[in-house]
Amino acid sequence: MTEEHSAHSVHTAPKKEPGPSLFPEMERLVAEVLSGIEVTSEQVVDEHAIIIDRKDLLAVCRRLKDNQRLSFDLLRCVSVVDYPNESVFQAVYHLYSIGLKHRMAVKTGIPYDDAIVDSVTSVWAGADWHEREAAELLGVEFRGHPNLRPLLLPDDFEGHPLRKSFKVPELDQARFRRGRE
Amino acid sequence: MAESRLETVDMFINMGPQHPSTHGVFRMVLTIDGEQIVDMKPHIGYLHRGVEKLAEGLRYREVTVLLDRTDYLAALNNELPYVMALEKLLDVKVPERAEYIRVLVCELNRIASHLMFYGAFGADAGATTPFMYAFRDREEIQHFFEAVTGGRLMHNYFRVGGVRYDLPEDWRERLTKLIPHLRKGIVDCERLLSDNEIFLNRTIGVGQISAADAIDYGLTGPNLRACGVRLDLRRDQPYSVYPKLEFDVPTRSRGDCYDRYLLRVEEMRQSLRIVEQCLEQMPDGPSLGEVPRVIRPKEGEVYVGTENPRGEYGIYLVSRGGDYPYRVKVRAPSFCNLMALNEMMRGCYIADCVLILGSIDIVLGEVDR
Repeated sequence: MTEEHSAHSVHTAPKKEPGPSLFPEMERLVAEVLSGIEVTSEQVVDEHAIIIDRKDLLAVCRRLKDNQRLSFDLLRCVSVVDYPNESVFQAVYHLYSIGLKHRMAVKTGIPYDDAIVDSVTSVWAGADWHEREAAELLGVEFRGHPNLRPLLLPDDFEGHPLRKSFKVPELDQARFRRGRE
Repeated sequence: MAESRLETVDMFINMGPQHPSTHGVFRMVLTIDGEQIVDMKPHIGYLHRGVEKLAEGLRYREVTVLLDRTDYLAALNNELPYVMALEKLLDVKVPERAEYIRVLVCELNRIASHLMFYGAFGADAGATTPFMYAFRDREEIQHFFEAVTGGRLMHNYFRVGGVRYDLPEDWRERLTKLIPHLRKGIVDCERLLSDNEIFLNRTIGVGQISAADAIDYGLTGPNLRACGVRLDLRRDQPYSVYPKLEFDVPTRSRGDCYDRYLLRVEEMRQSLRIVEQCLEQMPDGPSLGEVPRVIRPKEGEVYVGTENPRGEYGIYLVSRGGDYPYRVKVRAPSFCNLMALNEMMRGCYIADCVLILGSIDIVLGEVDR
Protein backbone atom coordinates (compact mmCIF):
# COMPACT_ATOMS: atom_id res chain seq x y z
CA MET A 1 0.00 0.00 0.00
CA THR A 2 1.52 3.31 -0.99
CA GLU A 3 1.66 6.12 1.51
CA GLU A 4 1.50 9.09 -0.80
CA HIS A 5 -1.94 8.75 -2.28
CA SER A 6 -4.20 11.68 -1.70
CA ALA A 7 -7.35 10.06 -3.03
CA HIS A 8 -8.67 9.23 0.41
CA SER A 9 -10.04 12.71 0.77
CA VAL A 10 -12.70 12.24 -1.91
CA HIS A 11 -15.66 14.37 -0.96
CA THR A 12 -19.06 13.03 -1.68
CA ALA A 13 -21.12 14.67 1.00
CA PRO A 14 -23.34 17.62 0.13
CA LYS A 15 -21.13 20.64 -0.32
CA LYS A 16 -22.48 22.57 2.60
CA GLU A 17 -21.24 25.96 3.67
CA PRO A 18 -18.78 25.41 6.48
CA GLY A 19 -20.69 26.03 9.65
CA PRO A 20 -21.29 24.64 13.09
CA SER A 21 -21.19 20.87 13.17
CA LEU A 22 -24.53 19.07 13.30
CA PHE A 23 -23.22 16.73 15.95
CA PRO A 24 -20.69 18.77 17.97
CA GLU A 25 -20.80 16.45 20.97
CA MET A 26 -20.01 13.41 18.88
CA GLU A 27 -17.37 15.22 16.88
CA ARG A 28 -15.54 16.30 20.02
CA LEU A 29 -15.69 12.82 21.55
CA VAL A 30 -14.49 11.09 18.39
CA ALA A 31 -11.65 13.55 17.97
CA GLU A 32 -10.61 12.92 21.55
CA VAL A 33 -10.66 9.14 21.17
CA LEU A 34 -8.83 9.25 17.85
CA SER A 35 -6.18 11.71 18.93
CA GLY A 36 -2.96 11.19 16.99
CA ILE A 37 -4.79 10.01 13.88
CA GLU A 38 -5.58 12.31 10.99
CA VAL A 39 -9.34 12.62 10.82
CA THR A 40 -11.52 14.78 8.58
CA SER A 41 -15.08 15.35 9.70
CA GLU A 42 -17.84 15.31 7.15
CA GLN A 43 -21.38 16.63 7.28
CA VAL A 44 -23.86 13.90 6.48
CA VAL A 45 -27.58 14.39 6.84
CA ASP A 46 -28.25 12.64 10.10
CA GLU A 47 -25.08 11.26 11.59
CA HIS A 48 -21.49 12.17 12.28
CA ALA A 49 -19.08 10.91 9.63
CA ILE A 50 -15.31 10.91 9.50
CA ILE A 51 -12.90 10.32 6.66
CA ILE A 52 -9.65 8.59 7.51
CA ASP A 53 -6.66 7.27 5.66
CA ARG A 54 -6.97 3.56 4.94
CA LYS A 55 -3.71 2.77 6.73
CA ASP A 56 -5.39 3.87 9.98
CA LEU A 57 -8.59 1.92 9.43
CA LEU A 58 -7.97 -0.96 11.82
CA ALA A 59 -6.63 1.27 14.57
CA VAL A 60 -9.60 3.62 14.25
CA CYS A 61 -12.14 0.80 14.30
CA ARG A 62 -10.55 -0.81 17.35
CA ARG A 63 -10.55 2.44 19.27
CA LEU A 64 -14.11 3.28 18.31
CA LYS A 65 -15.25 -0.13 19.46
CA ASP A 66 -13.21 -0.44 22.65
CA ASN A 67 -13.63 3.06 24.01
CA GLN A 68 -16.15 3.06 26.85
CA ARG A 69 -17.78 6.33 25.88
CA LEU A 70 -18.23 5.37 22.24
CA SER A 71 -18.46 1.56 22.36
CA PHE A 72 -19.53 1.03 18.76
CA ASP A 73 -20.22 -2.66 19.15
CA LEU A 74 -22.49 -3.22 16.17
CA LEU A 75 -21.29 -2.96 12.60
CA ARG A 76 -24.48 -2.19 10.74
CA CYS A 77 -23.22 -2.17 7.21
CA VAL A 78 -20.15 -2.03 5.00
CA SER A 79 -20.75 -0.33 1.67
CA VAL A 80 -18.26 0.30 -1.07
CA VAL A 81 -19.02 3.00 -3.63
CA ASP A 82 -17.27 3.42 -6.95
CA TYR A 83 -16.22 6.93 -8.04
CA PRO A 84 -14.68 6.50 -11.51
CA ASN A 85 -14.09 10.23 -12.06
CA GLU A 86 -11.81 10.34 -9.05
CA SER A 87 -10.50 6.80 -9.77
CA VAL A 88 -11.30 5.78 -6.24
CA PHE A 89 -13.54 3.48 -4.25
CA GLN A 90 -14.90 4.63 -0.98
CA ALA A 91 -15.59 2.12 1.78
CA VAL A 92 -18.19 3.27 4.27
CA TYR A 93 -18.65 1.61 7.65
CA HIS A 94 -21.86 2.40 9.49
CA LEU A 95 -21.49 1.86 13.21
CA TYR A 96 -23.97 1.73 16.03
CA SER A 97 -23.67 1.45 19.77
CA ILE A 98 -26.38 -0.72 21.30
CA GLY A 99 -25.79 0.45 24.84
CA LEU A 100 -25.34 4.16 24.16
CA LYS A 101 -27.81 4.30 21.24
CA HIS A 102 -25.68 6.48 19.00
CA ARG A 103 -24.36 6.08 15.50
CA MET A 104 -21.64 7.27 13.16
CA ALA A 105 -19.98 6.48 9.86
CA VAL A 106 -16.33 5.89 9.02
CA LYS A 107 -15.15 6.36 5.46
CA THR A 108 -11.94 5.63 3.72
CA GLY A 109 -10.76 5.94 0.15
CA ILE A 110 -9.25 3.07 -1.82
CA PRO A 111 -7.47 4.11 -5.03
CA TYR A 112 -8.09 2.15 -8.23
CA ASP A 113 -4.46 1.30 -8.86
CA ASP A 114 -4.00 -0.24 -5.43
CA ALA A 115 -7.45 -1.51 -4.54
CA ILE A 116 -6.70 -3.07 -1.21
CA VAL A 117 -7.81 -2.25 2.30
CA ASP A 118 -7.54 -3.92 5.68
CA SER A 119 -10.34 -6.26 6.61
CA VAL A 120 -12.21 -5.35 9.79
CA THR A 121 -13.33 -8.93 10.44
CA SER A 122 -10.93 -9.05 13.38
CA VAL A 123 -12.89 -6.20 15.01
CA TRP A 124 -16.43 -7.23 14.04
CA ALA A 125 -16.94 -10.79 12.80
CA GLY A 126 -20.06 -9.53 11.04
CA ALA A 127 -17.95 -7.75 8.43
CA ASP A 128 -17.23 -11.12 6.84
CA TRP A 129 -19.93 -11.36 4.18
CA HIS A 130 -20.16 -7.62 3.61
CA GLU A 131 -16.51 -7.63 2.61
CA ARG A 132 -16.80 -10.76 0.54
CA GLU A 133 -19.67 -9.19 -1.31
CA ALA A 134 -17.75 -5.97 -1.92
CA ALA A 135 -14.67 -7.90 -3.04
CA GLU A 136 -16.75 -9.78 -5.55
CA LEU A 137 -19.01 -7.04 -6.84
CA LEU A 138 -16.47 -4.19 -6.87
CA GLY A 139 -13.11 -5.91 -7.01
CA VAL A 140 -11.63 -4.50 -3.82
CA GLU A 141 -9.31 -6.73 -1.86
CA PHE A 142 -9.62 -6.97 1.90
CA ARG A 143 -6.30 -7.81 3.47
CA GLY A 144 -6.52 -10.23 6.38
CA HIS A 145 -9.97 -11.53 5.51
CA PRO A 146 -10.14 -15.21 6.48
CA ASN A 147 -12.07 -16.41 3.46
CA LEU A 148 -12.39 -14.03 0.54
CA ARG A 149 -14.12 -16.42 -1.86
CA PRO A 150 -16.94 -15.28 -4.18
CA LEU A 151 -20.27 -15.12 -2.40
CA LEU A 152 -23.20 -14.22 -4.61
CA LEU A 153 -22.19 -14.59 -8.25
CA PRO A 154 -21.83 -17.82 -10.23
CA ASP A 155 -18.33 -19.28 -10.15
CA ASP A 156 -17.66 -18.55 -13.81
CA PHE A 157 -18.82 -14.93 -13.71
CA GLU A 158 -16.33 -12.40 -15.03
CA GLY A 159 -16.10 -8.78 -14.05
CA HIS A 160 -17.25 -6.73 -11.09
CA PRO A 161 -20.87 -5.75 -11.71
CA LEU A 162 -21.18 -2.90 -9.23
CA ARG A 163 -18.39 -0.92 -10.87
CA LYS A 164 -19.69 1.94 -12.91
CA SER A 165 -17.66 0.68 -15.86
CA PHE A 166 -19.68 -2.55 -15.88
CA LYS A 167 -22.46 -1.85 -18.34
CA VAL A 168 -25.80 -3.62 -18.32
CA PRO A 169 -27.21 -3.17 -21.84
CA GLU A 170 -30.83 -3.48 -20.70
CA LEU A 171 -30.41 -0.65 -18.21
CA ASP A 172 -28.83 1.65 -20.77
CA GLN A 173 -31.60 0.90 -23.24
CA ALA A 174 -34.20 1.66 -20.61
CA ARG A 175 -32.55 5.00 -19.94
CA PHE A 176 -32.31 5.71 -23.64
CA ARG A 177 -35.99 4.99 -24.19
CA ARG A 178 -36.86 7.51 -21.55
CA GLY A 179 -34.99 10.04 -23.61
CA ARG A 180 -32.85 11.56 -20.92
CA GLU A 181 -29.73 10.73 -19.07
CA MET B 1 -7.60 -52.21 22.93
CA ALA B 2 -8.78 -52.65 19.42
CA GLU B 3 -11.52 -49.97 19.64
CA SER B 4 -9.18 -47.17 20.55
CA ARG B 5 -7.36 -47.54 17.26
CA LEU B 6 -10.54 -47.04 15.24
CA GLU B 7 -10.46 -43.66 13.61
CA THR B 8 -13.49 -41.57 12.83
CA VAL B 9 -13.71 -39.72 9.56
CA ASP B 10 -15.72 -36.53 9.15
CA MET B 11 -18.45 -36.88 6.60
CA PHE B 12 -20.02 -34.26 4.39
CA ILE B 13 -23.70 -33.87 3.80
CA ASN B 14 -25.03 -31.52 1.20
CA MET B 15 -28.40 -29.89 1.82
CA GLY B 16 -30.05 -27.83 -0.85
CA PRO B 17 -30.29 -25.71 -2.89
CA GLN B 18 -33.46 -27.57 -3.80
CA HIS B 19 -34.54 -28.82 -0.45
CA PRO B 20 -38.07 -28.48 0.87
CA SER B 21 -36.98 -27.16 4.23
CA THR B 22 -34.34 -24.60 3.32
CA HIS B 23 -36.92 -21.79 2.96
CA GLY B 24 -35.82 -20.93 -0.53
CA VAL B 25 -32.75 -21.71 -2.56
CA PHE B 26 -30.11 -22.06 0.10
CA ARG B 27 -27.43 -24.69 0.23
CA MET B 28 -25.41 -25.77 3.18
CA VAL B 29 -22.61 -28.28 3.35
CA LEU B 30 -22.52 -29.94 6.74
CA THR B 31 -19.45 -31.58 8.13
CA ILE B 32 -20.62 -34.22 10.53
CA ASP B 33 -19.05 -36.45 13.09
CA GLY B 34 -21.57 -39.21 13.64
CA GLU B 35 -24.81 -37.38 14.34
CA GLN B 36 -23.22 -34.11 15.34
CA ILE B 37 -22.53 -31.10 13.19
CA VAL B 38 -18.88 -30.10 13.32
CA ASP B 39 -19.04 -27.34 10.77
CA MET B 40 -21.47 -25.81 8.32
CA LYS B 41 -20.60 -23.96 5.14
CA PRO B 42 -23.41 -21.88 3.70
CA HIS B 43 -23.67 -21.25 -0.04
CA ILE B 44 -25.85 -18.39 -1.12
CA GLY B 45 -26.40 -16.39 -4.26
CA TYR B 46 -28.86 -18.62 -6.11
CA LEU B 47 -31.42 -15.83 -6.10
CA HIS B 48 -29.03 -12.96 -6.79
CA ARG B 49 -30.69 -10.54 -9.17
CA GLY B 50 -28.38 -7.60 -8.76
CA VAL B 51 -30.93 -5.36 -7.10
CA GLU B 52 -28.27 -2.77 -6.23
CA LYS B 53 -27.06 -2.55 -9.81
CA LEU B 54 -30.57 -2.44 -11.23
CA ALA B 55 -31.47 0.36 -8.83
CA GLU B 56 -28.78 2.51 -10.41
CA GLY B 57 -30.64 2.29 -13.70
CA LEU B 58 -34.07 3.22 -12.34
CA ARG B 59 -35.41 6.57 -11.39
CA TYR B 60 -35.76 7.33 -7.72
CA ARG B 61 -39.49 6.61 -7.59
CA GLU B 62 -39.12 3.26 -9.33
CA VAL B 63 -36.69 1.68 -6.91
CA THR B 64 -39.35 0.62 -4.39
CA VAL B 65 -40.45 -1.99 -6.95
CA LEU B 66 -37.10 -3.72 -6.56
CA LEU B 67 -37.05 -3.46 -2.78
CA ASP B 68 -40.44 -5.19 -2.59
CA ARG B 69 -38.73 -8.15 -4.14
CA THR B 70 -35.94 -8.43 -1.62
CA ASP B 71 -37.77 -9.46 1.54
CA TYR B 72 -41.00 -10.47 -0.14
CA LEU B 73 -42.68 -11.47 3.11
CA ALA B 74 -42.40 -7.98 4.53
CA ALA B 75 -42.42 -5.85 1.41
CA LEU B 76 -43.94 -2.78 3.03
CA ASN B 77 -41.28 -2.78 5.72
CA ASN B 78 -38.59 -2.69 3.04
CA GLU B 79 -40.06 0.26 1.22
CA LEU B 80 -40.05 2.33 4.38
CA PRO B 81 -36.28 2.93 4.85
CA TYR B 82 -35.86 3.79 1.20
CA VAL B 83 -38.58 6.42 1.08
CA MET B 84 -37.38 7.75 4.43
CA ALA B 85 -33.84 8.07 3.07
CA LEU B 86 -35.11 9.90 0.02
CA GLU B 87 -37.25 12.21 2.13
CA LYS B 88 -34.21 13.11 4.19
CA LEU B 89 -32.21 13.96 1.08
CA LEU B 90 -35.07 15.98 -0.40
CA ASP B 91 -36.12 17.51 2.90
CA VAL B 92 -39.74 16.57 2.29
CA LYS B 93 -42.29 16.63 5.10
CA VAL B 94 -44.64 13.69 5.40
CA PRO B 95 -48.23 14.41 6.55
CA GLU B 96 -49.14 12.83 9.84
CA ARG B 97 -51.90 10.71 8.37
CA ALA B 98 -49.46 9.21 5.90
CA GLU B 99 -47.07 8.36 8.75
CA TYR B 100 -49.86 6.62 10.62
CA ILE B 101 -50.89 4.68 7.53
CA ARG B 102 -47.29 3.59 7.03
CA VAL B 103 -46.93 2.39 10.60
CA LEU B 104 -50.31 0.65 10.42
CA VAL B 105 -49.49 -1.37 7.32
CA CYS B 106 -45.92 -2.03 8.44
CA GLU B 107 -47.08 -3.52 11.71
CA LEU B 108 -49.73 -5.63 9.99
CA ASN B 109 -47.02 -6.76 7.62
CA ARG B 110 -44.87 -7.68 10.62
CA ILE B 111 -47.68 -9.84 11.97
CA ALA B 112 -48.17 -11.48 8.56
CA SER B 113 -44.45 -12.16 8.34
CA HIS B 114 -44.23 -13.59 11.85
CA LEU B 115 -47.27 -15.78 11.12
CA MET B 116 -45.43 -17.12 8.12
CA PHE B 117 -42.47 -17.84 10.39
CA TYR B 118 -44.75 -19.50 12.89
CA GLY B 119 -46.28 -21.80 10.30
CA ALA B 120 -42.99 -22.72 8.67
CA PHE B 121 -41.26 -23.23 12.00
CA GLY B 122 -44.03 -25.57 13.13
CA ALA B 123 -43.59 -27.52 9.93
CA ASP B 124 -39.82 -27.63 10.47
CA ALA B 125 -40.47 -29.13 13.90
CA GLY B 126 -42.71 -31.76 12.35
CA ALA B 127 -46.13 -30.28 13.11
CA THR B 128 -48.27 -29.53 10.08
CA THR B 129 -51.31 -28.04 11.78
CA PRO B 130 -49.71 -24.69 12.78
CA PHE B 131 -49.16 -23.95 9.12
CA MET B 132 -52.91 -24.10 8.48
CA TYR B 133 -53.69 -21.85 11.44
CA ALA B 134 -51.04 -19.34 10.48
CA PHE B 135 -52.21 -19.14 6.91
CA ARG B 136 -55.83 -18.78 7.91
CA ASP B 137 -54.97 -15.61 9.82
CA ARG B 138 -52.36 -14.35 7.39
CA GLU B 139 -54.96 -14.55 4.65
CA GLU B 140 -57.15 -12.06 6.50
CA ILE B 141 -54.25 -9.61 6.62
CA GLN B 142 -53.65 -10.16 2.93
CA HIS B 143 -57.29 -9.30 2.24
CA PHE B 144 -56.83 -6.04 4.09
CA PHE B 145 -53.66 -5.31 2.11
CA GLU B 146 -55.44 -6.05 -1.13
CA ALA B 147 -58.05 -3.45 -0.23
CA VAL B 148 -55.42 -0.89 0.78
CA THR B 149 -52.60 -1.32 -1.69
CA GLY B 150 -54.11 -3.42 -4.48
CA GLY B 151 -51.48 -6.11 -4.08
CA ARG B 152 -50.92 -9.14 -1.93
CA LEU B 153 -47.15 -9.38 -1.78
CA MET B 154 -45.58 -6.72 -3.99
CA HIS B 155 -47.33 -3.61 -2.79
CA ASN B 156 -45.27 -0.74 -4.18
CA TYR B 157 -47.34 1.42 -1.87
CA PHE B 158 -45.04 3.93 -0.22
CA ARG B 159 -44.20 7.12 -2.03
CA VAL B 160 -41.81 9.91 -1.29
CA GLY B 161 -43.83 12.16 0.99
CA GLY B 162 -46.56 9.69 1.88
CA VAL B 163 -48.41 6.73 0.48
CA ARG B 164 -49.85 6.05 -2.93
CA TYR B 165 -53.55 5.79 -2.04
CA ASP B 166 -55.44 6.81 1.02
CA LEU B 167 -57.07 3.99 2.98
CA PRO B 168 -60.29 2.58 1.51
CA GLU B 169 -63.57 3.98 2.81
CA ASP B 170 -64.44 0.94 4.89
CA TRP B 171 -61.00 0.49 6.41
CA ARG B 172 -62.25 1.07 9.97
CA GLU B 173 -64.85 -1.68 9.72
CA ARG B 174 -62.36 -4.02 8.13
CA LEU B 175 -59.76 -3.34 10.78
CA THR B 176 -62.22 -3.60 13.68
CA LYS B 177 -63.08 -7.07 12.43
CA LEU B 178 -59.49 -8.02 11.70
CA ILE B 179 -57.98 -7.15 15.09
CA PRO B 180 -60.06 -9.53 17.28
CA HIS B 181 -59.64 -12.20 14.63
CA LEU B 182 -55.85 -11.89 14.82
CA ARG B 183 -55.87 -11.71 18.60
CA LYS B 184 -57.74 -14.98 18.78
CA GLY B 185 -55.49 -16.40 16.07
CA ILE B 186 -52.37 -15.70 18.12
CA VAL B 187 -53.92 -17.44 21.14
CA ASP B 188 -54.74 -20.45 18.96
CA CYS B 189 -51.21 -20.51 17.65
CA GLU B 190 -49.73 -20.38 21.11
CA ARG B 191 -51.96 -23.18 22.33
CA LEU B 192 -50.73 -25.44 19.55
CA LEU B 193 -47.01 -25.04 20.15
CA SER B 194 -45.88 -22.97 23.11
CA ASP B 195 -46.55 -25.60 25.76
CA ASN B 196 -46.37 -28.62 23.52
CA GLU B 197 -43.98 -31.04 25.17
CA ILE B 198 -42.57 -32.45 21.95
CA PHE B 199 -42.00 -28.95 20.66
CA LEU B 200 -40.34 -27.89 23.90
CA ASN B 201 -37.99 -30.86 23.80
CA ARG B 202 -37.07 -30.13 20.22
CA THR B 203 -36.37 -26.44 20.68
CA ILE B 204 -35.17 -25.60 24.20
CA GLY B 205 -31.38 -25.34 24.33
CA VAL B 206 -31.07 -26.01 20.61
CA GLY B 207 -29.14 -23.60 18.43
CA GLN B 208 -28.02 -21.34 21.24
CA ILE B 209 -25.95 -18.25 20.67
CA SER B 210 -24.58 -15.90 23.30
CA ALA B 211 -25.37 -12.19 23.31
CA ALA B 212 -21.71 -11.27 22.76
CA ASP B 213 -21.41 -13.53 19.72
CA ALA B 214 -24.72 -12.32 18.36
CA ILE B 215 -23.63 -8.68 18.49
CA ASP B 216 -20.26 -9.57 17.00
CA TYR B 217 -21.93 -11.20 14.01
CA GLY B 218 -24.25 -8.25 13.56
CA LEU B 219 -27.45 -10.07 14.44
CA THR B 220 -30.44 -7.77 14.75
CA GLY B 221 -34.16 -8.02 15.29
CA PRO B 222 -35.88 -10.88 17.08
CA ASN B 223 -32.79 -13.09 16.80
CA LEU B 224 -30.77 -10.59 18.83
CA ARG B 225 -33.55 -9.81 21.29
CA ALA B 226 -33.90 -13.53 21.99
CA CYS B 227 -30.36 -13.37 23.43
CA GLY B 228 -31.40 -10.68 25.87
CA VAL B 229 -30.18 -7.60 23.99
CA ARG B 230 -32.87 -4.96 23.89
CA LEU B 231 -32.22 -3.38 20.51
CA ASP B 232 -35.27 -2.18 18.64
CA LEU B 233 -34.74 0.68 16.22
CA ARG B 234 -38.39 1.71 16.54
CA ARG B 235 -37.54 2.70 20.07
CA ASP B 236 -33.78 3.37 20.03
CA GLN B 237 -33.61 5.44 16.85
CA PRO B 238 -37.22 6.63 16.78
CA TYR B 239 -38.68 7.31 13.36
CA SER B 240 -42.09 7.98 11.87
CA VAL B 241 -44.78 8.16 14.59
CA TYR B 242 -43.41 5.38 16.77
CA PRO B 243 -42.57 7.78 19.63
CA LYS B 244 -46.30 8.52 19.95
CA LEU B 245 -47.24 4.86 20.22
CA GLU B 246 -47.05 2.60 23.22
CA PHE B 247 -45.48 -0.78 22.87
CA ASP B 248 -43.09 -3.03 24.73
CA VAL B 249 -39.88 -4.46 23.36
CA PRO B 250 -39.89 -8.03 24.63
CA THR B 251 -36.63 -9.88 25.14
CA ARG B 252 -35.71 -13.41 26.15
CA SER B 253 -32.47 -14.61 27.66
CA ARG B 254 -31.39 -18.03 26.41
CA GLY B 255 -30.97 -17.28 22.74
CA ASP B 256 -32.12 -20.71 21.59
CA CYS B 257 -34.74 -21.80 19.07
CA TYR B 258 -37.55 -21.70 21.61
CA ASP B 259 -36.74 -18.14 22.67
CA ARG B 260 -36.62 -16.98 19.08
CA TYR B 261 -40.01 -18.58 18.53
CA LEU B 262 -41.66 -17.25 21.67
CA LEU B 263 -40.29 -13.78 21.13
CA ARG B 264 -41.94 -13.52 17.74
CA VAL B 265 -45.27 -14.61 19.16
CA GLU B 266 -44.98 -11.85 21.75
CA GLU B 267 -44.00 -9.37 19.05
CA MET B 268 -47.19 -10.15 17.18
CA ARG B 269 -49.12 -9.08 20.27
CA GLN B 270 -47.16 -5.84 20.49
CA SER B 271 -47.69 -5.13 16.81
CA LEU B 272 -51.39 -5.66 17.32
CA ARG B 273 -51.30 -3.08 20.10
CA ILE B 274 -49.71 -0.61 17.71
CA VAL B 275 -52.32 -1.37 15.06
CA GLU B 276 -55.07 -0.69 17.57
CA GLN B 277 -53.53 2.64 18.53
CA CYS B 278 -53.24 3.58 14.88
CA LEU B 279 -56.93 2.84 14.49
CA GLU B 280 -57.77 5.13 17.41
CA GLN B 281 -55.34 7.94 16.66
CA MET B 282 -55.54 8.07 12.86
CA PRO B 283 -55.71 11.78 12.02
CA ASP B 284 -57.49 13.29 9.03
CA GLY B 285 -55.62 15.04 6.31
CA PRO B 286 -53.76 14.29 3.12
CA SER B 287 -52.06 10.97 2.61
CA LEU B 288 -49.40 12.44 0.35
CA GLY B 289 -47.39 15.56 1.09
CA GLU B 290 -46.19 18.21 -1.28
CA VAL B 291 -43.53 16.60 -3.37
CA PRO B 292 -41.68 17.94 -6.39
CA ARG B 293 -42.96 16.46 -9.63
CA VAL B 294 -39.50 15.29 -10.58
CA ILE B 295 -37.47 13.69 -7.84
CA ARG B 296 -33.97 15.04 -8.17
CA PRO B 297 -32.24 15.20 -4.80
CA LYS B 298 -29.17 17.32 -4.28
CA GLU B 299 -25.78 15.73 -3.86
CA GLY B 300 -25.55 13.88 -0.63
CA GLU B 301 -25.88 10.59 1.10
CA VAL B 302 -27.81 9.11 3.95
CA TYR B 303 -28.10 5.83 5.78
CA VAL B 304 -31.48 4.88 7.19
CA GLY B 305 -32.08 1.70 9.13
CA THR B 306 -35.53 0.60 10.22
CA GLU B 307 -36.86 -2.31 12.22
CA ASN B 308 -37.94 -4.93 9.76
CA PRO B 309 -39.56 -8.17 11.05
CA ARG B 310 -36.16 -9.82 10.59
CA GLY B 311 -33.96 -7.09 11.99
CA GLU B 312 -32.42 -3.90 10.76
CA TYR B 313 -33.18 -3.20 7.13
CA GLY B 314 -30.82 -0.44 6.09
CA ILE B 315 -30.58 1.65 2.97
CA TYR B 316 -27.43 3.59 2.18
CA LEU B 317 -28.44 6.01 -0.53
CA VAL B 318 -25.89 8.13 -2.38
CA SER B 319 -27.00 10.87 -4.71
CA ARG B 320 -24.79 12.91 -6.99
CA GLY B 321 -27.65 14.86 -8.50
CA GLY B 322 -29.61 13.70 -11.51
CA ASP B 323 -32.64 11.48 -11.90
CA TYR B 324 -31.02 8.21 -10.94
CA PRO B 325 -29.62 7.09 -7.60
CA TYR B 326 -25.84 6.87 -7.67
CA ARG B 327 -25.64 3.97 -5.26
CA VAL B 328 -28.24 2.04 -3.30
CA LYS B 329 -26.73 -0.32 -0.78
CA VAL B 330 -29.19 -2.66 0.88
CA ARG B 331 -28.31 -3.88 4.35
CA ALA B 332 -30.54 -6.92 4.53
CA PRO B 333 -31.13 -8.34 8.00
CA SER B 334 -31.28 -11.98 6.87
CA PHE B 335 -27.93 -11.59 5.12
CA CYS B 336 -26.32 -10.65 8.42
CA ASN B 337 -28.31 -13.09 10.51
CA LEU B 338 -27.24 -15.96 8.30
CA MET B 339 -23.58 -15.33 9.13
CA ALA B 340 -24.24 -16.53 12.68
CA LEU B 341 -25.83 -19.79 11.55
CA ASN B 342 -22.59 -21.74 11.75
CA GLU B 343 -22.11 -20.58 15.33
CA MET B 344 -25.61 -21.77 16.23
CA MET B 345 -25.34 -25.13 14.51
CA ARG B 346 -21.96 -26.30 15.71
CA GLY B 347 -22.37 -29.19 18.12
CA CYS B 348 -26.05 -29.75 17.34
CA TYR B 349 -27.55 -32.86 15.79
CA ILE B 350 -28.25 -33.10 12.07
CA ALA B 351 -31.92 -33.54 12.83
CA ASP B 352 -31.97 -30.07 14.37
CA CYS B 353 -30.25 -28.18 11.57
CA VAL B 354 -33.50 -27.65 9.68
CA LEU B 355 -35.08 -26.36 12.85
CA ILE B 356 -32.24 -23.94 13.59
CA LEU B 357 -32.32 -22.60 10.06
CA GLY B 358 -36.07 -22.10 10.41
CA SER B 359 -35.67 -20.34 13.74
CA ILE B 360 -33.62 -17.46 12.36
CA ASP B 361 -36.37 -16.85 9.80
CA ILE B 362 -34.43 -16.07 6.66
CA VAL B 363 -35.83 -14.88 3.37
CA LEU B 364 -33.46 -15.75 0.58
CA GLY B 365 -34.75 -12.93 -1.55
CA GLU B 366 -33.01 -10.42 0.69
CA VAL B 367 -30.00 -12.59 1.44
CA ASP B 368 -29.12 -12.76 -2.24
CA ARG B 369 -30.73 -9.52 -3.41
